[in-house]
Order: sequence, then C-alpha cells, then structure tokens
Amino acid sequence: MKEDNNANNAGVGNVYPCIYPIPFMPQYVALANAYVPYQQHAKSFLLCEALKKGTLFPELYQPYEVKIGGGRHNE
Amino acid sequence: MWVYEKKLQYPVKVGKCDMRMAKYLYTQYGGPDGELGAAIRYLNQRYTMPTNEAKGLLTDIGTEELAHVEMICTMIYQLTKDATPQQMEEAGLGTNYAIRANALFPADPNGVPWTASYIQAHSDPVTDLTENMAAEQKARAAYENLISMTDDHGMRDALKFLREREVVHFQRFGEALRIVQEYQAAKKIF
Amino acid sequence: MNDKEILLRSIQEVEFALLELNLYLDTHRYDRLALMEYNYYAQNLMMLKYNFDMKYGPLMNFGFSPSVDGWRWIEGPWPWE
Repeated sequence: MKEDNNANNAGVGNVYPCIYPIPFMPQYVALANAYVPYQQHAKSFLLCEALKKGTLFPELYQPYEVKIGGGRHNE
Repeated sequence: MWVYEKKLQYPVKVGKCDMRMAKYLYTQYGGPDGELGAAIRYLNQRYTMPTNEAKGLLTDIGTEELAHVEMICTMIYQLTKDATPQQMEEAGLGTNYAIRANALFPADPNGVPWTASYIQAHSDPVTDLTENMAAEQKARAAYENLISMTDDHGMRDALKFLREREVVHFQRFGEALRIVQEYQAAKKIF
Repeated sequence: MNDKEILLRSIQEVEFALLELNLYLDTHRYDRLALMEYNYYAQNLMMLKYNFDMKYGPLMNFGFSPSVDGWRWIEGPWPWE
C-alpha cells in the first residue's frame, strides 16, 4: 500500500490519513450512522453466468422470486 | 467526454404480446425513481464529492445508468413501434399518441414529464450517498413491481438484470459511504 | 444466433465483467487480484472489439473504432432496432 497514492484523496483539509484496509464492518460504530459491510471479493462467476445474473460477484447475487399472487396469471 | 458504443449493455428481447407493459415501463424511463433520474443525479453530484473514490464511482455508475435508460427505451420502442392508434389506446397510451404519435418521451406512466425535482444534491457526501442508496432501493422495488406485472420471458429477463444492478450499486454506494466515514473519523484522530 | 450476434454477446460478457470490476475497484483501489482480473479482461476486450470492428464496422464512434470499407458507422441495425 503506497501512502502517496492516497495524497489528495481526502479532498478536504490538509491531513490525508491512510484509511485502508477497510474492515468488513467498522471497528468502532457510532449511533445515527448507517454501515454497509465492505465486500471482500474472492471469486467470480463465469462471464456468461455473470451477464445473465446481473453481477460478477456470487456474494452479491440476490435474485428476486416473484411473490405468490404476483404475475398476471396468478391474479 | 463520453463515447457511444453501438450495442446494449444487456440484450433485450421483448415479445409483442405484452404491449400494456410499455406504459408501465415508463416509470423506469422518466419516473421519479427511473434510470434517467439516476443518471442525472449521480453525474450531477460527482462534482462536489470529497473523495476520489466517490468521484470515480459516481462517474461510472452515472454512465452505466445511461446504458439502462437505453435498455428501457429499447423495450418501450420495441413494444410500440408498429402499434396502431387503436393499439396504443388499448395499451393506455392514447394520450401519448394524441400528443406525439409513437414517439418516446421522458415521462412517467401517467405522462408526467421527467423533472429535476426527482433528484437532489447537497455536497455533503453522507447526505448525497445516503440519497443514492435510497434511490437504488426504490428502483429495485420498482423493478420487482414490474417483474410481477409481466409473463413475457424476455422482458422479465431484462428486468431481473436491471434489478440486480440496483443491488450492486447499493453495495458500492455503501462502500463509498464507509470510505467517507473512515476519512471523517481519521481526521478527528490525527 | 449468427456469427455477429455471438461475437457481440462475448463483447457484452467481457465488458460486463470489466464494468463490475471497475465499480468494485472504485471502492477497493488496493485489491491486487481484482486489478489483475481487470487488466486481463481489458486485453481480452481489445481483441474482441478489434475483431468486431474489422468484420462488422465500428462499434464505437469518434475514432475509438477504425472504419475500414467506407463509413460503416451509420449502418443499421441500431441497438434499439
């Protein structure tokens, strides 16, 4: 991890701390903040599968199952 | 600068038989949680993002949303291109025909034109990224509504693809928010 | 699917993987494996696109694709057709 890659990264103020690596969930959490788990990419779908599924990442694939009563023929 | 690629992000094959879907698909063209709003929202917010991660992400997701606008428009166009005035009327698009025949228009299913009041920008990165996460969830829910309204295999296929993209975008905006939170916390310590 | 559709489909597949890796790298700039994957597919995409441009006319405008055999950019079908 190169420190100089992080220069100008904070954008505001004169201090550019290195924040990486970012953990899966924050070590310290505060009230009134929303936290999304930080993805750790390990494996990918095959390319043809990825396009069909709408994501390259198996851990992010959350398909929608049509609810009972949904669909025109189930009305 | 943008460059056009003469292809869709994902192949769209819609059957002619489900023309009423053309009207409903308009929600994802010019509706409040549609793809056009998403593209403009992100491409407009990027200017005042404080981190390079967020600037890059908003540029890239904003660009992808333009490809989604193209997919939605392709579906609407495919369904309505050869429709007679009577067929347009039967599909609930009689008012569209009266105003502009078979032309497309960035509006919601009721014909209400797209407006910039569907989007917001604050320059506060927590505020903007949280808006974007909400926008992705709203679009995901809208796609689920649309998927439940059609049995056309090709249409469902494309809508499921677009729905999954909302899930991935939510994750990425969430990570961009985590990065902003880490910077804000680190700045307090150092 | 004809030959053109098959080639276009592989471009869509590789490009989609690159888009996904691009968004991922935007928030994971130090992930070396993802970066390697990205560069690998980028090479792949260049070759596929070059193939397509030569056989079926430019996929992209503004000089990002060469146009051999005349100005084929405006040949249909367009993506929405």
